[in-house]
Amino acid sequence: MALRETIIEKFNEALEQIDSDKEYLTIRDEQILLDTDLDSLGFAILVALLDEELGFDPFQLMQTPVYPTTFGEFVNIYENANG
Amino acid sequence: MAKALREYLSLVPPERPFLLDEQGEALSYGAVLKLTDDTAKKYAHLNNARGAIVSDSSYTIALLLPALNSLLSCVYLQAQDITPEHAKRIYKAAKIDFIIELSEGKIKNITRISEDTPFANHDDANSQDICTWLLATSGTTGEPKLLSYTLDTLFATSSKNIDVGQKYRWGLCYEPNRFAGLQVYLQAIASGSSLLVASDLSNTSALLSVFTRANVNSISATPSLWRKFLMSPEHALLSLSNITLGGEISQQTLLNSLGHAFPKAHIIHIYASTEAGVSITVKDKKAGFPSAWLNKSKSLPVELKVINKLLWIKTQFPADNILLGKLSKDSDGFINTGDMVEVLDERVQFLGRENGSINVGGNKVMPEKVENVLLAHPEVLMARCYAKTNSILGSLVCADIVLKTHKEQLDNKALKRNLKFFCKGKLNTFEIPATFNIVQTVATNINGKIRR
Repeated sequence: MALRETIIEKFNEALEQIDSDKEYLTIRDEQILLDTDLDSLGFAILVALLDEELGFDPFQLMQTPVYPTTFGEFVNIYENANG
Repeated sequence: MAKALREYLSLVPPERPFLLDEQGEALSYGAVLKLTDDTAKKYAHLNNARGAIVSDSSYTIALLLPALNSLLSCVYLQAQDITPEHAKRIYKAAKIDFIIELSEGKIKNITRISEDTPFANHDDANSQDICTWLLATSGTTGEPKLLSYTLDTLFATSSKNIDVGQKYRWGLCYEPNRFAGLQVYLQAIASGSSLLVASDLSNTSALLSVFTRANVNSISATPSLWRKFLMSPEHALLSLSNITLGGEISQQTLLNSLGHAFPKAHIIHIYASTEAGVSITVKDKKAGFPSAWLNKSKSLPVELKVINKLLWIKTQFPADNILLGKLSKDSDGFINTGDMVEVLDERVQFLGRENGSINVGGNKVMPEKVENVLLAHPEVLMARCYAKTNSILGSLVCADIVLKTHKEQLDNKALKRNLKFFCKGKLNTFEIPATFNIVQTVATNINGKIRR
């Protein structure tokens, strides 16, 4: 599965975990992360779920993590860390 | 003699702006001082009473606190989310006379708590002139503590340089009836700075936009809130001179990110012990604090020591009194902070809480509570919950699970989903483990208890 699809799958899983009924089939690159239905706890869960699935947390690998503001940036960070 | 807030206000040039609302309307120090005197005169019958302050707006508390401080002999700042039973216990322990409700910049309602005990110590020549401040520790779990402070204690570590302070405009991120918010409010007053108090503190993007419009240049927040700010596009418009972190462990990666996002800002992280009523300030942009501080250092307002990985603290300004709950103090006067630390490369680094409680973005989680819920699941033999470092919220709850039967064919993915579903309704969302590990065994100590 492409990384982007994995992220969307885990995104929906994190949404379910914070009791949101929302499910995203696709997410645009420009989508502002904090304007989605995922809250801080949801993002923390998303990063943990992706760590479990992919075996890494790019934010902990970066010396100076740049926090993503859009979904496109979020995916980019994972793609870059994946080499 | 101990000063009241009124005296601190009067030290600042009266024309200097003090409180700002989100429309940018400013009230000067002089105007708030006048309001303080007028209110104190109008409500003179509250003189020397003990009051619980309840407010529907942060701005109103900020506006009226100096007046209430002048009037009352005890100010209990009540958090909005406490249960009526909890409030009742506090009123009793603190001998509260009145509940004072604030709204729209005014005292709206004053309710006498009990008619049984007469309240009559107005104008008593012997009455104490030092107001005590009561704050409850976050009592999400276990026994909440109610601690009393004097204003001197609360101001002890504030910078009081009024010349430098005029350059700073703080943006309030927490209600002033919480420790985190009160500290920022008092810091603004102590150094004659201005303070922006927005009406809605919960919407991060909106709050950052208000801060930008009002040219806020100083912000104090928890590491979790700082990460949220960094994820909001609006943060790029802020120009910050002062960044303060506190309330949770400040990780090195976050300190680096803030330095990168706000290259001109002074970044300090604060380790505060509510119990000790004091904080230590770390200014070198490195996580933890220098291990040299464990040797008695004259530059620090406290003495520190580490015994069995636990940090103990001794201060000349201890929380002056504890009304509810217990403090653990040794014969040398050191207070157990309950914080676990390790010394590594001449740095003391924080590991977490002694009782294993996990701080999930400011919410306390007791691992035993989560484990007990998991143990009720038909497939679970043993469960161990612990904190897992998270780059967004500092830490999340994670669980190791030993299954009752070893089933080769069991689908782990389905089981983990099932476990999460099982926890819903029994636990708060932040308490439910984010990830599960299916393991063969969980380490126990000699008493058969799970090792923490």
